Amino acid sequence: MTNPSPRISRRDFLRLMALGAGATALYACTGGKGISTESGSPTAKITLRTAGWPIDVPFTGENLTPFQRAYNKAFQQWLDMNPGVSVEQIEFNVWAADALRTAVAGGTAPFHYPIGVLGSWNVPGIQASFAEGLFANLTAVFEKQGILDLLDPKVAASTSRWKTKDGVIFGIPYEIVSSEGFFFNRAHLAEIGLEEIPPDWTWQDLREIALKLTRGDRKGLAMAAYVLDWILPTYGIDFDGLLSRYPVPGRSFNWRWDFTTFVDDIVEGVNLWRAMYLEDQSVYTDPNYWDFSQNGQLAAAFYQEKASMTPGIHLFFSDMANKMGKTIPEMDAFAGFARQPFGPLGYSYQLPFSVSAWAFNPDLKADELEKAVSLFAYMTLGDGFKTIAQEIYNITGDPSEIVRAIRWPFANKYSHEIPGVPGTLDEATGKRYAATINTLFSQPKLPEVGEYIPAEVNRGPGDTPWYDKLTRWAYSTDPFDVKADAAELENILNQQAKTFPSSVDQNAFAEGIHRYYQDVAAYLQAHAPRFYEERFKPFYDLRIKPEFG
Amino acid sequence: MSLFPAVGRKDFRLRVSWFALQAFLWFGVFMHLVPFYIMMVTSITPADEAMSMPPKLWPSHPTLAAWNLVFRISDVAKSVLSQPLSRYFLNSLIMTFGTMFLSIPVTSLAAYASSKLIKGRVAKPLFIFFVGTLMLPGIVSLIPSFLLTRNFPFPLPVAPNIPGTDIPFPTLRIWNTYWAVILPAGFSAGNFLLFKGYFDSIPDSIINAARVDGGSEFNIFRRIILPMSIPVYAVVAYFEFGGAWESYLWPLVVIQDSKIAPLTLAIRRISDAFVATGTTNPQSALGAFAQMADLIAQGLSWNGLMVLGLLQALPVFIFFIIAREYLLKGVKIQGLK
Amino acid sequence: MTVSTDSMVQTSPAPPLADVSPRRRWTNWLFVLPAILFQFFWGWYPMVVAIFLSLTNAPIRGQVTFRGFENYLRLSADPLVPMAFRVTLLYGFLSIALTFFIPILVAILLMEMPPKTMRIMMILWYLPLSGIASTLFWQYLYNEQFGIFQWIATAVLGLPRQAFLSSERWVLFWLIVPGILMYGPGLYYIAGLQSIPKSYYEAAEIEGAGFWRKIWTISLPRLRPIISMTLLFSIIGTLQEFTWIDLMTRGGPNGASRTVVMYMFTLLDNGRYGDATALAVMLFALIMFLVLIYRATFKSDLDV
Repeated sequence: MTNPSPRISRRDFLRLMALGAGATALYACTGGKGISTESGSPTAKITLRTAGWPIDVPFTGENLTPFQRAYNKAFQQWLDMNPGVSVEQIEFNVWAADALRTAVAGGTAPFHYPIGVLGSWNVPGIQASFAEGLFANLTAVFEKQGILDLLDPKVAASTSRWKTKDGVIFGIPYEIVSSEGFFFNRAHLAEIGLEEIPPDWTWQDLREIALKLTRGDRKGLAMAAYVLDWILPTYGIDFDGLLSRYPVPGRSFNWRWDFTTFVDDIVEGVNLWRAMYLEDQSVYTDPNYWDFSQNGQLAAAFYQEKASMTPGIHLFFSDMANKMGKTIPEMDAFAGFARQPFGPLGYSYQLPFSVSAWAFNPDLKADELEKAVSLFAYMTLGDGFKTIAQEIYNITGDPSEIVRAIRWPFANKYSHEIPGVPGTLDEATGKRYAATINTLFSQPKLPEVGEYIPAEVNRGPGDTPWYDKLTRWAYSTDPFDVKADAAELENILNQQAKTFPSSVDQNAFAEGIHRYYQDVAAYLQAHAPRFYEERFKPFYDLRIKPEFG
Repeated sequence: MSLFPAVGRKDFRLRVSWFALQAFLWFGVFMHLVPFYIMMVTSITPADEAMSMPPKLWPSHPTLAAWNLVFRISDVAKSVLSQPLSRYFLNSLIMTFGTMFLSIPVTSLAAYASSKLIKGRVAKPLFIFFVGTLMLPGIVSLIPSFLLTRNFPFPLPVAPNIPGTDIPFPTLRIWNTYWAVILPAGFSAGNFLLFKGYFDSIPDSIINAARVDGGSEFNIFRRIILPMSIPVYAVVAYFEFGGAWESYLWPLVVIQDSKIAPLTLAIRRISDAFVATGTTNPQSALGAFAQMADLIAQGLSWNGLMVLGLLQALPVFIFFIIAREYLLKGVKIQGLK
Repeated sequence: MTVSTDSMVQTSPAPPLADVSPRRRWTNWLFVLPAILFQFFWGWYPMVVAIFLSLTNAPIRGQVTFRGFENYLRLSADPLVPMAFRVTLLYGFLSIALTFFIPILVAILLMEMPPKTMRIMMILWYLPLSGIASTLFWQYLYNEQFGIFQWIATAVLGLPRQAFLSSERWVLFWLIVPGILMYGPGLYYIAGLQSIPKSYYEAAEIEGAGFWRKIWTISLPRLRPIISMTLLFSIIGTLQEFTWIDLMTRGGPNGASRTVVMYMFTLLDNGRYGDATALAVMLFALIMFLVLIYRATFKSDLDV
């Protein structure tokens, strides 16, 4: 039946209506909806958006833990002192670099986030991120609120991760983190006649100890897949190693690599690992084990006593206690912590500790920033923290509950004594463990180059080729030639390096480099004299002295 | 049984082939059952057993703790999630169905037109226009698209001023609304291709016959083509549902208000710490873990994650069951002798 | 004697456009208008912007500075880039060769089962499985100390201890094996097969066609447009593979499984946004090139 009617069909009409309605709805969604950081009049409410720890919104519900109740109390105190401010929680994972990057770009990030995520957890990356404008400048606020006084002196002096070399502040230190080390099972160690791990052990010592600890089903060591990233730097060989990277002046990227001068050391380190893994068979490991957090395979092996040693950061101590359901004294009896071994010439690349700092959203207005910093400092460094600790003690009557809830030591001044809490927190943490940590943190600190030279915004080649080679050397069952690989690695990185421009002032760079190497030389002569004589000095004369001497 | 001959069924060779065919299919099914089984077993395994290597076939102390926990998850995850789980679930439903109701009509109608209605010189460029973006690695347009949701139609952080004045252009901001998730999915190049492939295989004669009878193109589409195309619509609907329901990266970027956040964001927040693929820096592993400290204290572990994962995947499965019926419905071909 | 679907159907040409009323033409365009708008604003527009971005430093904040082709030159001088492209192409080729055709076969065979069995099988094939569970499952299978594959290799087959994901030579193959083993019916193919009347098969059988012959002459031709589209789709998708490989091997060992998209994310993590965008555009150019070759080769399969 023909129907040449010019009217459009009912369906078409409905669709057009839908389109129109949709467009109207779209328009209705402009502006207003969504949370804006614009504040109107000066007396308008300030809303801070947080993504959770360490600044959570007050906890609700039944069965709050002592920490949660204490936290709520301190939080309320701050709110009372700061009327007109509200804090709101958003669903956001600040630990995911991509999401955080996009959020900061779009101005939608929470008010605080960890510096390392955007800075790739290394000093050059962190400094570059600030130069790119990803973190708010906190210098004025620090001054006004006297935050430096709240910090532990060690922390205040270790600035490369939250201050530029010129003293501009872009982060608040929150935790001090030991470098990676090993947790060891005390009972197993006692079986082979050792009470503690020798504080100056080398990787060769570790090999022997691991072999002795291995029996039956149990391996002496559980280790993650980047093991060579721990071993080779003790020879001075690393992506940014003292003996494998050297500065060059000029308009292109200011660093070059050298993996061939000391390639024999690389061979030695690789062979040491492979002997442990393949001949001694004393290691619980897999090319796929990259995660040594407390939920991963390596930790599980340690809990189940299938491995006597496992890598970790010291801060995991109380978490492990929680996970295993042990009290702190029980945990102290079960496990101890040891720093990483030294290299054969007495060199270690590890810092005694590094500071974990938090940055603030650069889009915050001045008054918002003030309140944000005030809240953060109050709850983590200042009176709020003190209140939390005291309240935990009041509720539970047990100082070790404090360190169960908040990892020890702290970046503030309360690490050892808290008014109103008897005894020292060292005891509460586990005497032997605390002794280890205190010793560790008082070690002398190797100078860090990021504290001497201006930040380079063009970040240069990444460490991908380095990790490529490490994975091959650690696990490959196909034949390979370390010397050829080292030469290839050097070549790849140098070729890449030439294609990057340099953005820093060459004079400032040269001057900073010169001072840096002077300080390094002084440090090594004092603490690793063999390494200084046999490795550092020749390398310095070969590579650095000609241009910067 | 169209492929097997009607006679000679009892023939030995035929029975062997039939057996081989079945074995082949059942093996494929089995391979899918194994991870499912492992998931179910892990969900009733107590926390400390779950990570043992090699994993056990059956836990020594099975427990339903994780299942109970998930019902209380809103309380347990208070420090991480600010809304009850049902809220996220509802948001996911709104976004998913919103996407489907927009994208499927838009895409299929365009595919039909491109297949049957629009001929001549325009046809090929039009096809390329619709399909060309498939070649683009999606990640590249992530940031420009994000900026578009902020200042439509300018992919910039801030709208430019009208030339010669200080006034910025008026812009549409759909960021942080449901529309930010629904609208960019309004047309799907991939589904366009599938629809077109299917419509292409419908003989032209059917349409010509209908045209002879008169009626608008739309009526022809609705009355004749649509019933024939139920299988492809069922499949596309299933994949659209699945894709929209499971989408994570885009909502992560454009949704900030937790009241409209979808389920994927909420569950991922909880599970990220456990499945950390590891970092070479312990601080980031530590940080992710720190947030989970009280979750773990409350007993959430791998078993709970399995349950959450299962609950997340369940609606897609249910949708599959529904879609499957339409898929297998077959087709009524009219006018074909 | 061949039996083909086309010969059984009368084809008469559609009325030429000149006979179609302007009203009809206009409503035809209504079909495509919303799609055009969406595809323009959310498909092409961001893409073009992205190409422009690749000529800059593509900052996420702050000033955009024009760089011309500097990013591209830098990538050309980077030895890791051709390596990534090699891996991507090899992975794409292997993956398609080994896994593309199985779902077609499975779909065809599945249609042979009685309806009730078919329904059960499909339910079991599509059981809800969390992504985490899949990852854990395969990581366990490939574990070099305790995994099942190692056990099969050493205990059952008596081979020396194998390296699976840590073998530079074989890692790509092992990454594809799950795709081979976890086969299932392609839903799009089932949709296509549904529309073939049984009478075709009966007619063919009368003419003496056997099992495979019927598949070749009836099922496959009907599926041809769908297969063609899906193949194109698969090629494009496989060349952008990221998540699965990243979870299993992180690009190792020694970069043997690092695809272009993975390297792109690495660049993003290293703060090299301009380079990352340029690399994405390079990948796009490669994909476009391959698509053009594909269309030129299989011209007859596409009616456009």
